[in-house]
Amino acid sequence: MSVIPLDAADEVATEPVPPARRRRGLPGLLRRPGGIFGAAWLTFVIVASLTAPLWRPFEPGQQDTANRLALPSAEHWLGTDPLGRDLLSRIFTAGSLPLLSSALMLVVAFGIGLPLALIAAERGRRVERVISRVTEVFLALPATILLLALIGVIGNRLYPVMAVLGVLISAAVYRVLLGVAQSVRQRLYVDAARVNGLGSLRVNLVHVLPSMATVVAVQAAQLFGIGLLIVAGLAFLGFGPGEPEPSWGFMIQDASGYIYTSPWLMVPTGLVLALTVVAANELADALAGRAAGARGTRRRRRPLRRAVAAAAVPDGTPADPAAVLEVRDLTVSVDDGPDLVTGVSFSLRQGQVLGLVGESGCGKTMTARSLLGLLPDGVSVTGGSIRWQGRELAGLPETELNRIRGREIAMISQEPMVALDPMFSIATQLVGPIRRFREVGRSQAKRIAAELLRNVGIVDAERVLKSYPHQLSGGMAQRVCIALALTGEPQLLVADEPTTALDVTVQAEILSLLRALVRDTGLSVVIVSHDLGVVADICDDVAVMYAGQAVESGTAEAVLDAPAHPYTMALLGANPHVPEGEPVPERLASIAGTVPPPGSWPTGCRFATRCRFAQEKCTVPFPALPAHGAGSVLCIRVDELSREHATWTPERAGDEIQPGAEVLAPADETAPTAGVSS
Amino acid sequence: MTAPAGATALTATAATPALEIRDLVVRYGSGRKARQAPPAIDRVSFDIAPGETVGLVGESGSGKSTIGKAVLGLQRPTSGTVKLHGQDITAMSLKQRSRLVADLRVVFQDPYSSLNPARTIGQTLVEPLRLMGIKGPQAVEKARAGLESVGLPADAVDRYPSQFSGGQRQRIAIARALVCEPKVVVLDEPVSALDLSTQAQVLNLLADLRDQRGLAFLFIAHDLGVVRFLSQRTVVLYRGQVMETGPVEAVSQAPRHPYTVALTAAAPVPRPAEQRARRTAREAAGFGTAGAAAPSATGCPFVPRCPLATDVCVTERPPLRLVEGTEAACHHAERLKDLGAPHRSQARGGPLHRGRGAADA
Repeated sequence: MSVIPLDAADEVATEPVPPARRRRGLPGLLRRPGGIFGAAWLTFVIVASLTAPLWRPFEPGQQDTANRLALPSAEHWLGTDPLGRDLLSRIFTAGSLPLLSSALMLVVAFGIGLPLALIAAERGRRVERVISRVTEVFLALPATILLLALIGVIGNRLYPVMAVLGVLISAAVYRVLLGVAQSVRQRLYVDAARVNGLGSLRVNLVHVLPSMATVVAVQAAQLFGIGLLIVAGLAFLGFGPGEPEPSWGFMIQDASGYIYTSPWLMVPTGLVLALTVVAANELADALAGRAAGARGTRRRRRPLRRAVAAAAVPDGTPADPAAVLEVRDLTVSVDDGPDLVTGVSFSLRQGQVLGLVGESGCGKTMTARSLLGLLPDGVSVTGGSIRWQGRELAGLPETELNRIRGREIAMISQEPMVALDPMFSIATQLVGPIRRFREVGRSQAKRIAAELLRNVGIVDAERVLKSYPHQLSGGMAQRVCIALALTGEPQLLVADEPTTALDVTVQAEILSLLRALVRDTGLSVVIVSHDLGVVADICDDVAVMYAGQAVESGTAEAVLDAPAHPYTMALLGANPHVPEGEPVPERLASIAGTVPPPGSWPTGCRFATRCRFAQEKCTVPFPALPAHGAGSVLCIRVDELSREHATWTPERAGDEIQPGAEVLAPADETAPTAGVSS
Repeated sequence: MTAPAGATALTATAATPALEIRDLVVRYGSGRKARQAPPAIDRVSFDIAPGETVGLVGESGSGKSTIGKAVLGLQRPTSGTVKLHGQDITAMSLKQRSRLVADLRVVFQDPYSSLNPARTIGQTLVEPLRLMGIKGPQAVEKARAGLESVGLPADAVDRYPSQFSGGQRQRIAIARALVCEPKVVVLDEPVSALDLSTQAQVLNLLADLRDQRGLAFLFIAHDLGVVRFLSQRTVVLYRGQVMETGPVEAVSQAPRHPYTVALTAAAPVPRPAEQRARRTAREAAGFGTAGAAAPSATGCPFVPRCPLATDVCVTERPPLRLVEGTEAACHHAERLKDLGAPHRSQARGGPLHRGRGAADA
């Protein structure tokens, strides 16, 4: 039985389709050729079969003995059978039985499987176990034998036979839907509904079932095709409606007797059956594909839109001769879409740590990933330059980048558990890259692996090497990931929110480890973080990012202790960690509104719409000004603000509950950045 | 407990806590193996006075969210009691609780998964009102007013969650919790999924609403700084046990338990010079690596990481006892100065009385 695997079902279920999109979803489904074909053919076959008595040119039993085994003609569009009966009429007269009995099978299978899955997911493990054991018995029953035995008892009555098959298949339906129902039930809105005191039926109907709709539809379409094949198969074996009643299975069986003399006879019936089954499967694929999102577009490189600006271009800030990494005017864009990062410049010396800090959606992850050429599909560097040890990385082909990744520039990510493969032991995952990068034998690679683990502060390296990712704590897993990143002895480590998923005490340990690595090995680090405390702890330099730009940069001390840009001031004011001995403020500073998504950035200062110091002149474009020594600030009023000793103070109490504290985006705008925002 | 919900209003006096948790124990699973494992929640007790905010702090696996679930009835406690305005609600089914729906509400952590993407904001907000018997245009009117009270325009009722940002969704979740005018709200990490500036907005909003309506909050968080902003008192949890509890200023500024010291010292501050000093102090204190060894089953759970641990810590679980203004479960609370923790007399500022807190009483 071909049912979609559980984890795929789960994936489908984790992205419920809101009705707002579902309404537009149908054209989306029909945009896929398979979906169009599937829906169109099924509709045609169903309509044509159910209305056959109204339009068929001949009665299905009407014999035209002069035209036996005829090829298609104006009179008989699809030809005739050995008794001279019109094939077109017979095929579509026969169609309603397999279609309707398959539908009956579906109704029975889902009528039993779906409620059982909902009950099992709701009532917890004990009930689930009982139901699952019972369904396992059903799965173990030899369905074919059972059906044949049943036919022996009740005769060739396909509707009851298919209903019984539906009962048997309900076990498989239950299995798949149980996993989906369980994952949906873990969503917080289900908990919220339960806290609201909603009854079990209502929770299931209103909150659980709609999120399962896609999986149910996919399963149904697939099982429908299987049902058709089974009905045809039974008829082929002679367990269908007897002659002269037409049936697809028997017509195929009949045709197989004439396969050498009149091969055409097989074609119309076989084709209709095959196309119908394929259509059901195509429809299932299209439904599943739509739910999983339009992923899987091919990686496509867009040529640099702007000429690669070499570091020598005089742009106000001379290139740092001691820098190992020099990024100038970096622009990252969605192919045929908006820019995600524009004009970002920074440089990094050996053994230094640079922090990219800002809120989500500001482009800091995109900036960091562009250093390794690891941008998501459909996103690429479209301007500026990334000079790594004198070499230009922007626009480098994939093969060249591959030689640099891991060996010169490595990366650690936010979720250590996701970065490690759950199927392999830590030893396997470390030894592979060590052998590849350092070209050593297996036993030496193992020694190096243990040494690397000890270098990242793992005391019992031997035990950790033997373990699998799920056996490690989050902090331990992140240490392993750092060891993994160090296998190629890189000189630059790109760390994307390396401590965000970790507890605060574990975060402190990981930051200490990174600091020790920088001190002992001369590693340079670019760290992405939303936490100014992390930046204060580990970074030498910092670039504050807002809406795809670096709005302020300089040494961490200068930027954090004396912020010049209003956005940096606001971020610092929003931080509840007050200095030692000071009382907690009554209110925290906050920034009204949200970060504008790429493509809707205001001209001029992108922060102007949310800035309380904004004036008319902030709406025209202006260049970055030097600040904090070698750093820069992107604010036209920076001098005025510093003269006025401007600070971003908290609002008055009660401001947050004023009507209009939040302004809504236009109603037609649904997350245009989904999938590409950092 | 079959007392009608209406009786709570009569029996509730100033002395009755809004929420009372006594000796709460939660074990997951069943069977011999589960009984041998340490419980997820181990004899936790605390009160929340009407109008008071109590912060429940701990790292992942500390059981703080489990306590929230037990209070809400989403997790059945193994033993212990939970009382809402003096009424025992420990064993009440969710169905029986529907009568309390107006009194006890929740805001969850993840603003993306806590709103049903297939329902409009209006449908989401009206849902709890149905059970209070408020239906039709009257309920929609209340939903609109609820949105306005959290700073959102009332016409948001016709939109779907996908049209809102994370911070706005969390405002909606707060509006859903407050739409039936509860007395107690469980806030399960309401800001930890949000960006800094949005987090500040939501924290300010919660403080405003509390002061305006006299709400009692059980505020679950992993960040002591955030807890300090919103709470009057705090309960520090480690592996399901209360390590320290007391006024939030005392606990965060002059902790009396080594774990609280570790937690406070590990939170980075955005001031490089101060952070450097804090880091040096933390590294000098010598806390053990998290997850390095299994905790002691009979004694204090923090033993494997505690630089002050002695034999007695392994054999005997320290009871909560009063140490200079906070209650700490540590045999060596007096020796804490060795870790460089500030001495209480040196710490500036006593407990602050913000909002209409019960600390005033």
